[in-house]
Amino acid sequence: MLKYIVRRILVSIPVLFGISIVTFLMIRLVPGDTVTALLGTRYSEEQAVQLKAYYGLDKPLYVQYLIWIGNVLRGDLGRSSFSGDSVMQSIIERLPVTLELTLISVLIASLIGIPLGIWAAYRHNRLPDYMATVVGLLGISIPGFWLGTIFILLFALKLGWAPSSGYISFWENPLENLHHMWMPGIALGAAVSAVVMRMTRSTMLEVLSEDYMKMARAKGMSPLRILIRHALKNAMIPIITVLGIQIGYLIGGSVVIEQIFSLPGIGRLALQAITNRDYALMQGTILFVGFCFVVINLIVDILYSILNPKIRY
Amino acid sequence: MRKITGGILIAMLIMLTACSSSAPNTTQTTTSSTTTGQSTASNVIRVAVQSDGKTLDPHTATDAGSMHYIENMYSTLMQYNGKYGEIEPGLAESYTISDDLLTYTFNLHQGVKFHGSGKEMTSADVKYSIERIIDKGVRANQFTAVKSIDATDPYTVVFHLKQPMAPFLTYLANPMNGIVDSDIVKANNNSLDNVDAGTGPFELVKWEKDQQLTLKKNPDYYEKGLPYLDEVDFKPIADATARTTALRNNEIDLILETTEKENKVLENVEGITLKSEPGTFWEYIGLNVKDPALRDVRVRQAIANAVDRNQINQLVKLGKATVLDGGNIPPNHWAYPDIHPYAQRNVEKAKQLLQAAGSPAISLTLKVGSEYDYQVQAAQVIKQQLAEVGITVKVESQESSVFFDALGKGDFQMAVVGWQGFVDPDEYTYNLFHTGEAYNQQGYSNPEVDALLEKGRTTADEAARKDIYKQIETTVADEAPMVFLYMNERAAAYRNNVTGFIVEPTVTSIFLKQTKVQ
Repeated sequence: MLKYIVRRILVSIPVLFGISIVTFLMIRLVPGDTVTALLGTRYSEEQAVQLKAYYGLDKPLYVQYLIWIGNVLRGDLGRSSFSGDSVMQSIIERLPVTLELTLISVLIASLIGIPLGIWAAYRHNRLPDYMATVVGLLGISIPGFWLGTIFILLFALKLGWAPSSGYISFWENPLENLHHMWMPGIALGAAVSAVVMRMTRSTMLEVLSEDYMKMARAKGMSPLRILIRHALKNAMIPIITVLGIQIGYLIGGSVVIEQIFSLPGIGRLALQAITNRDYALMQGTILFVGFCFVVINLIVDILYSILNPKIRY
Repeated sequence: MRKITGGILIAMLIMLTACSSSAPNTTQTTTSSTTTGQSTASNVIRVAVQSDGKTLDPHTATDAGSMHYIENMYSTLMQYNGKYGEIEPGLAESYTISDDLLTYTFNLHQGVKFHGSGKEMTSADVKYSIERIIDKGVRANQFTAVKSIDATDPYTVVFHLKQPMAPFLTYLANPMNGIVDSDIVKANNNSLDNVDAGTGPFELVKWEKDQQLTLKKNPDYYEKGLPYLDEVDFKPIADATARTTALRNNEIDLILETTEKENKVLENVEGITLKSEPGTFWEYIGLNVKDPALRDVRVRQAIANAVDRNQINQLVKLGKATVLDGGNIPPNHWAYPDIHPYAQRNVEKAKQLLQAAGSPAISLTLKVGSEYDYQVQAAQVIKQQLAEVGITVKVESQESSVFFDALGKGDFQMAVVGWQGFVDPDEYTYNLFHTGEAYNQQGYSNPEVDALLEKGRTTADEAARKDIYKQIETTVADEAPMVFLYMNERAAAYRNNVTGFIVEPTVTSIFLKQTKVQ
């Protein structure tokens, strides 16, 4: 197992290098650059040349990359060209917000999606199944920005159950923090629970049609025991995979929800970095999200062997 | 099942620790007297802004978000006096100008203290600040006429100019030309991005990026009795619905700048005041004079005649903007030219002009920045209107950075753009219409206009200047390198317990030193 983990970590190094190159090139392929964004709406050529030299943007691309990656390897993600802040520091400051948001929405997704999926599979082609399918379809099709806006109008304005925006750190005031976070958490979790529900339903259906299920029933086991102990455990691998992928997406992809609810997270940081053409900040953020993805995938792979002892590394 | 849930939990815990080993340490320990949604201190105002600032350095800031913070933290030699276009002494107690308009002598207030350090502001800081502005480049063009600055004694500073510069005092009043503490600048490697080196009405307490910028009252502020507020909390809220909801829910007291859509929402809400003034942000269609299709002045005039400014105003701005049917200097300005060559849309004339130019049916591309949805809407209306005179328009909506890049390079035929007018008429005209100037992206060039622009800069008498700018505006409107559309209103919304809030026309203006919360 340890050997496997070490091997996986070694394999992820070239993956991260790949991410770094793609990130580096992608943002430079987009027209417009740091200087255009930095100088505001209009600028003179002279100013632009000066600033380009200042940020080293006048050097050839490969030199710029080598300088950057050299610094990254030394643990220095560089500084934002707008605020002058350390990129690492900016990411670390915003990470707790995004992680909490991710955690809440994944928890919600699991609590809603998994039971609903099991129920739908158990009552296959009957009313609960149809209802769950409709709910799942809605969850996937409703865009986050719409749900977020409706939530604000309903829960913040009409009912006054939650503030419409802002963030309080969990360590500063846990209750206030949850008061602020539940609404964006649900708004973000809705789509994920739909994905989880559909995955649970389909894998459960597959497992339930296996011969060993008939065997279990023939042995006279209670339906609940069959569902949970035998079916769900075997259906769990694809569900965990989906959850893992979703967590990865949420860390980098909660942009819309963070924007609507004014949460100072990684998504908003990345969005600003992109609109400002803040190369160092954007490269750093994306590389970091890529890193999280790799770590989560590793965790998911390790979980497989816990769930299915037949899988050995 | 227990094992499974346990597994998931463990996985999540591992993930948490893997990704955020140092997360808890990042929490700010500084205690603030307020938290979102409830203020414990009484004399605190909670202000919503659309976007967080990018820097706190007055000499490099270019975005409105940063300017809103900075203007409350710094003071300037001269300052705006509340009546648009007029200025009065600020940190300077008094000033004299030599007869040849080449020497400006300022006598400084004594006992003005910098935030934090408590050091007294002297003429050395003034000299240092203006030289830093020139060095930083962003607003250096406002001081191109400066030959040298002498700090003759601690409270006297003398500016020697190479040539007369009529808007010089107005430039000194620009809130971004703040006087900074030279010691603090040096101690921070010439970067004021995250620190406060000002003498303004409020001083920086802390800045949690994207969450809140907290300012507190400067007890030593040189204008006695001001400011009234003890604390100002700026909260960036990007989403318009979230912003209006926060105001209605009493989570904030003031939205510094509202859009037309927010105004519509807040118009009839009880307990909320919506205040608007004619602003200085105007929009226009830029016509690239160097483009073969637009080189002929008659084609440009045809476009200027074919556009129905009133209709665009009604459809896009809900009729709230002030239509510009002549020049771009607004009606509330002392230099307003009061000319109306395009008071009425004239389709027939437009068709005749196109006919005369030998191009009765042409196709043009109209570029617009996708971020500004109202400009994209305006572009669509313009497309319809120009179609009626035989001009086929293809609207190309581009991501802002790409759009401005194209604009800067002159890579466009037509473009819908917004431009911030400031205070002096020179700022409305020189950089835009003088041959070869940085912001003259239309490539417009007229030696007569150039001469007038230079004369406008170097003439001191206001009446004479008014006449000069009228001539400039008349020629520019006629030759149409830009088709002016409208001047936007500037609006703010606040809860009724807020008093003394002045909506200023320009984007940079001291907002909060007169404001009270009851």
